[in-house]
Amino acid sequence: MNHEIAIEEEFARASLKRATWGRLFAYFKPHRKALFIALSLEATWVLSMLLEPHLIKLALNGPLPAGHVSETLVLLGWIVLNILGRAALTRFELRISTRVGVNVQDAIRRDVFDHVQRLSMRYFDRTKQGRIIARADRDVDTLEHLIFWGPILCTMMLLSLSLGTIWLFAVNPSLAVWVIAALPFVWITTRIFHAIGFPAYRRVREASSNIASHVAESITGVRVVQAFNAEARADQELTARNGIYRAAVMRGAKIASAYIPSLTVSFHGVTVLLLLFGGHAVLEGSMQVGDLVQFVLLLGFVLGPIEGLGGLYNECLVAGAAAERIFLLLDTEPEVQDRGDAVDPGRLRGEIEFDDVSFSYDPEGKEGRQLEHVSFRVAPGETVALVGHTGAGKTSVINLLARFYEAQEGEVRIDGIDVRRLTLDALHRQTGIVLQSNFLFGGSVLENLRFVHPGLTEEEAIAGFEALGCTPVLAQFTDGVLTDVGERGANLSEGERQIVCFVRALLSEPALLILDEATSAVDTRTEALILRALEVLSSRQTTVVIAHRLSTIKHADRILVMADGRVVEEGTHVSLLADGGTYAALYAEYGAD
Amino acid sequence: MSSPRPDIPEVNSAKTIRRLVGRFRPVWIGAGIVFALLMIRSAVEIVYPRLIAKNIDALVERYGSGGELPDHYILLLWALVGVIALRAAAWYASGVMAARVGMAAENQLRSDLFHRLMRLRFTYHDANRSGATIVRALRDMEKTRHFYREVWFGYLEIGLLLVAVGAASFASHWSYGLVVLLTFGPGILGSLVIGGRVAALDRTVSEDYDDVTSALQENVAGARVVRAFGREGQEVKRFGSRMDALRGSWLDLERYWTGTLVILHHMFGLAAPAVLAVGVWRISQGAGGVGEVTAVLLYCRTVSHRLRPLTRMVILGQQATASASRVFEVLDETDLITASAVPATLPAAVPGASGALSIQDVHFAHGEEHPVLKGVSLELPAGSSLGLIGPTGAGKSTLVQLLPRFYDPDEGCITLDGIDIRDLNHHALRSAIGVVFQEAFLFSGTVAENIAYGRPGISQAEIERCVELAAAGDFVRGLPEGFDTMVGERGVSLSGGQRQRLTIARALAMNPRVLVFDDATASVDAVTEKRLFDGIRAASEGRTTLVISQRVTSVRWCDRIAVLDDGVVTAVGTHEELLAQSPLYREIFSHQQLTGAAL
Repeated sequence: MNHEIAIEEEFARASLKRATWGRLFAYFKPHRKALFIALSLEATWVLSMLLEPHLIKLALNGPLPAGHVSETLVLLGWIVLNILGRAALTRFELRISTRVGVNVQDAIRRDVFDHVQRLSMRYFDRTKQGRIIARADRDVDTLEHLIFWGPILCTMMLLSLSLGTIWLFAVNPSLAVWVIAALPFVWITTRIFHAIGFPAYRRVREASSNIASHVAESITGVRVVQAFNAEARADQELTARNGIYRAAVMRGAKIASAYIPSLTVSFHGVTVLLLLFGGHAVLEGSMQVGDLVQFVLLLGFVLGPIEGLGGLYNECLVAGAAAERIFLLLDTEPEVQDRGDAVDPGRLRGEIEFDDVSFSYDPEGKEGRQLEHVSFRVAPGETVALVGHTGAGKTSVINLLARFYEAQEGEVRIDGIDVRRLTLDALHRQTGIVLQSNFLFGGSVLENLRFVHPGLTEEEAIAGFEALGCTPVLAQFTDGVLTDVGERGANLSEGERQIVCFVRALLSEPALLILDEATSAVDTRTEALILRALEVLSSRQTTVVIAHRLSTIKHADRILVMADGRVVEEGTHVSLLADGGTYAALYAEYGAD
Repeated sequence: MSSPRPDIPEVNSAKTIRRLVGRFRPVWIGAGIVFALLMIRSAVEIVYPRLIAKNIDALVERYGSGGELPDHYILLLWALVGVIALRAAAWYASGVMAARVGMAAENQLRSDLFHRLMRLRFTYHDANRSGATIVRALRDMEKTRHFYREVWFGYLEIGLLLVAVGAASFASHWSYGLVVLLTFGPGILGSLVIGGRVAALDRTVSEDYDDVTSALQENVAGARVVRAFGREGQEVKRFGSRMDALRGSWLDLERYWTGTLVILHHMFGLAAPAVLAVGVWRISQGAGGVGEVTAVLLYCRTVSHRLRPLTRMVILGQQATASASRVFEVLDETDLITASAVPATLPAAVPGASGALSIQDVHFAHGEEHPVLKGVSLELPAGSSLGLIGPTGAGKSTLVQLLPRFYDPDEGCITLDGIDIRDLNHHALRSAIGVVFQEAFLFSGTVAENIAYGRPGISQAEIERCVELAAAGDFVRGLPEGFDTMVGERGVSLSGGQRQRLTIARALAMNPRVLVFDDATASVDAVTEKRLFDGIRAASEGRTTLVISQRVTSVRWCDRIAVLDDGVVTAVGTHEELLAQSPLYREIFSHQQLTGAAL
């Protein structure tokens, strides 16, 4: 689960950088015509809204108190027409503007996803998954309201505020002054409440993710909870977090419950003042009762937008920060990408050459190097095992070979071509990889195989299992190759997942086969089947195997022993044992039972 | 690869709502206060326009007459100020009180749900893979809480206001009442109907959204695989097609509500001309006045203002009801561990003499058609060690999970120190059996907290001793903050082998009579595994130990080894005996033997 990310950074800062807004606006560009129409309709809407109090005033000032039914009804007819026209207008306007909103958000989300596809493994290894997902997910969601409503609300509020004020002054300037006097009060109230409300709301979110992470973790580990009698403690922890949440919510509720009354008090306060001063004016005969009523009705047009703009400002702060994070991701340059002079040499023979390669996961090299001047050569069709302690550099060799990373010094060559000059497509199409952390996508076994081999038939999939000698494993699946593997393969055992990964890697008859601890979770019988099959297949491709267990490497033609980022020994099992070096020591530690 | 959508079963809304409301019972006083405050607020909404109406009438009467405003006019303005203050106070108080009541109900429901989930048996958690359970606990609870946050309060508020305004309009004159009824009555019905449809469309949107999110999550989690096979382009297509679906359903939703709800809300505006028409008719009859019309106009404005969130309430309410029914389903789940009325007590632990396990003719099946154990009998004398070896699917893991009663056998029985484990208090039983699971799961917390998970409050020295035994001392000391280093979700990343060693230390720290290793050393490299078992052998002096593994080296040191194949124990004996007796054991061993060893 990735809830904790929210606490780390979601609300870390609010931002209103101009460059960010420029890029955000650029997404509206393809829709500028539609947007222009929507905004024009919105402006018409505001005029229509302002017209209504005026029509009511006309009725109240003349025909209505006098009881002139027909004259009044004519005015009322206009009001009805005005309302109907406005309804039609709004419908078209919102249809256009929501379409723009959907399209803009859609475009941003796709851009983020597309860019994530281009990023290299270094980015994924360094960035928590939750954080990447939060960009494409939560941050884009955060923008939703602003993208949909920002332009419209802004137009509406600014027009309503300015036109409403002008109208007030036109009707009665001395009374209008009282309304204007209330403006700063409403603005300040809004700003204050948002200033207190923002962090309060943040705390509610934090407390909520705190609960979520405890619940998610406890459920994931529910077996451990029960095995260690920790049910009651898990409950207590939830109660504690519920308490924090409750306190945060209550604080938020107090602020929200005080906010609306404070605003309405200023609305109503102005109304009372209008009745007092307007009352005088009516007695003097300088103002009619209808004018006074119109004033009261117009109040909302002037004070409302002030409140709305205060809210919008706040939203811009939050959305700005989200947009900034999105653009930061979009600006991350992929480390590994096809060069201008990249070539696709066609079918590879599978000759591998490491030529004085040095490599560090940290480009600045502060963390020390994982590989130090590594050189070796693997002939086409050869099977080579990499052996050594954890941290000796075996996985780094594979990462460079598959070009998940690029070496800082030296060259990795396949068929004599620097891997950096091969197109990624050419390289990856002909490389089969089975990793220790075997990953399957949700869906059926067949769909997982099709992920790599689009258009694969059921028969071909079954044949893939057969070729690997794993028909018995397939027989255990309830629906054969159509078995649903579950979310990330959860329905299969670890060994079964590994076998599917094997089939996936071998189906394309790769020129290079890379196995990283690929049979560690497979049971002995199945492992034997796989190794036997590999032996048969091994002449077809060059194979590089990483294994902790010395038992799995006996099939290798040659063994490279690694220690501290270097290749320290090289030879066959027998010759290495005879040499009495690192390999012999490793073997003695393991075998001396 | 579409992610399966959760089936939405028929929801008995009425029953669910009754149950949701019923949970207010413990906080009924608070709920009553909220109700009273909302009554006050509704009354104020009526009084305020009436006061204004009186003043308007006074002004109409005296228009152009000059002089000072009459005393009662000023008095009414003061009354208005009082009403405004009362309204503000009631608003604040009802908001805060409602939050308090809702919060209490929400927290209680979450606690109840969590409490139940933590105690449901493994059979439940197996059938509901943890992903689905988490969704239920988090997302459904998230939606259900809207009921306690907004929905009940919103409906109550709108309902009371409508009653008050309706009554006040009829009180002014039946014709006004009729206008209000005819404008808002159908409007409310329309809102409810449209709200229901919007909720349905919204459901499709969120399902499509979930598909998009899961595609994204999978893609990021499988980043290496995507790159290894060069499938980035295809992933973009896959994501794109899900985005297309989302965009489509989203546009449907927007089209629908802009075509219906928007129109409906404007129709509320028609109340104003209707009221004015009634007003002029009344005045022409010599009844009523401008003030009265103004008051009803203001009523209408308040109502149409407050009806706007109604659709939201309908949507949230429907979501909450659907989610709540799933939450209640969990609360109604009864697959809890059964305890005997008077639990037996285990005799006090005597090192070397307790922890005798006897497994007698145990049968177990997952569901009807998947028999896993077909009559297993094993004896583990106190302090002995037994290795259990066999191919995947032989039933090894299932067998050990019966010991702490994660499952109960269908037939046969298991005794610990002579007592049927079903007669024991299950907490006592689980303290006596330390399990190291295959999946090395650690909680967010420090290393020390994780070690002490089964026995909080043990000494630092004890923690360190267990870590040493689990061959984890070196790497723990190498961590940035040693034993205080945070691990788990938010902590440092540990390798699989490191995590596994910590879970072993955790089991040791409970000081159990029986130690069970469920293939717990699979991701530890061979050298470490050897050190680990040396430590464990030392630690299990006098402790009954059961080791499950696929590897001979992991069980070879045990006093005896049992071979499990297809739910049956086919042989028991020492390594040498088994080599002589068991073809399966021989097969496993010969494969695992190194080429070198055979030389």
